[in-house]
Amino acid sequence: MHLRWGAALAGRQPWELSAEELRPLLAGGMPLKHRLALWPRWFSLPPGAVGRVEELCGQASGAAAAQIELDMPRTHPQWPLGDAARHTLRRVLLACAARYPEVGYCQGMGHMAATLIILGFDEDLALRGLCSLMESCCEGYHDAGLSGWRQDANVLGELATRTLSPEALRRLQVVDVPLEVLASEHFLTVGSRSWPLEAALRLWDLALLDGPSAVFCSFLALLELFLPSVQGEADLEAEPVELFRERALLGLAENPVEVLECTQRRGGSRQPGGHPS
Amino acid sequence: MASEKEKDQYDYLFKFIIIGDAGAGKSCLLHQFIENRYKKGSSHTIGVEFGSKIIHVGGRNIKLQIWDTAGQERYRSVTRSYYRGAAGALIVYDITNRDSYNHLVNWLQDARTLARADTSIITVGNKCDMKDKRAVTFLEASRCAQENDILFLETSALTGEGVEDVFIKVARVILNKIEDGLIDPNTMVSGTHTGSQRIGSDSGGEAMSSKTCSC
Repeated sequence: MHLRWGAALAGRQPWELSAEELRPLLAGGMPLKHRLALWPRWFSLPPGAVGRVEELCGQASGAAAAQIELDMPRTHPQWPLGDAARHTLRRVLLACAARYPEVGYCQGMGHMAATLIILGFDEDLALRGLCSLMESCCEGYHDAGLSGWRQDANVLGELATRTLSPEALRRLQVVDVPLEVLASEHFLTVGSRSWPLEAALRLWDLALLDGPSAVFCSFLALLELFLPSVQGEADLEAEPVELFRERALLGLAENPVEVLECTQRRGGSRQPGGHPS
Repeated sequence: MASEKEKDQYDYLFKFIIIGDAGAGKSCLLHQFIENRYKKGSSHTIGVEFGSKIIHVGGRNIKLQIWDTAGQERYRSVTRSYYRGAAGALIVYDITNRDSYNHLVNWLQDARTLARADTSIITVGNKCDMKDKRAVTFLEASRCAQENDILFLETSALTGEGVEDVFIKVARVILNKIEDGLIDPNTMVSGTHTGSQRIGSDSGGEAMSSKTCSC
């Protein structure tokens, strides 16, 4: 991966690459130092637009603070986040709850914030990243009735009907779980709760560049690639929906490139070249 | 075809839903039931987790298909669709958290309005291993269950105490309703299916999708 990037950069800084040069590199992953340099440039909200964690975190409502506290040890408990990083997570979520009082704290926000923190961003950049994703990819998803998500779940249904293969659609019918339920975790965390970290980071590369289409296309890619066939893999104990989730996680861990390339192919036809600067 | 084996494997399929406040231990309860061990360091649920297990009750093999829901109130809006199909509902509270018990009435109201009238409901007082932190007595919860005409048990998802009993108890009640003719297991809208009914629905799905392909 470092070699590919080195060759593509040819002595330039990563932000000097054009979108056409960048895109072919993304499915294969990106060195950490380039992510730390590029993502803040890709966040939809510019520096200074969000406010400082130090100023905001004392203004969260008591109800939001109580829920944040409850979820503090229950957000990526397996990750090696020490006490200091957990405290940063707490402060970022409190600040975010204060910035969007009508949202407060919604489960799922913590997984996104933790992803930015474990990558090495400081609290203010983590907050700007979280708010950028919430505004650019998850508009209205986390509000009191999850209204934005419930609307987009219908859009996802439309896209599934139009773009999935007949075989994948048939398998989806067998799974027999509404997309609003099946896909909620993916959309409300932009893949950051269940996707293996490396795969999730590559998805975020695309989501920060392309916005919501990357989130839709990645879930459609999972449906196309990992829905279990009815005859071949019928498992007497597990339900098709459980098999789907297991297969997706295994596929993402073993071959994230396949999923990300499938995501890019699906996105390519819908939103050529466009990305927020 | 696997469906033939499936038919032999279980007699009925019951859908269960697990609801209750965030942090009451719903996911740990499900994990203990399915894996027979406590899930240490478990992550809070976003949306829904799914689990299934075949149990043996009253001489029948029953497959339980369980939806474990996120406890945060706003997530209720996406899990509502499932209540209608649920044959059983588990309302979980934390015996060390008074608020989670006080909210039981809200969850019960949800279940009563959204589920069918014959859905069997049990309230589950979880974390009963934490005796010194108990904030809800067995007696008051038991009385509350009596008043509301629902079942009640205490469990510990940590030690496993009472966990299997919860699922068996609800399954037995549903089975009794079937045998007394109060629920027709062949009606698909109810949260119970017979094994053979599912096969019918699968081939129905196949026919439907081939129809959509042709247009």
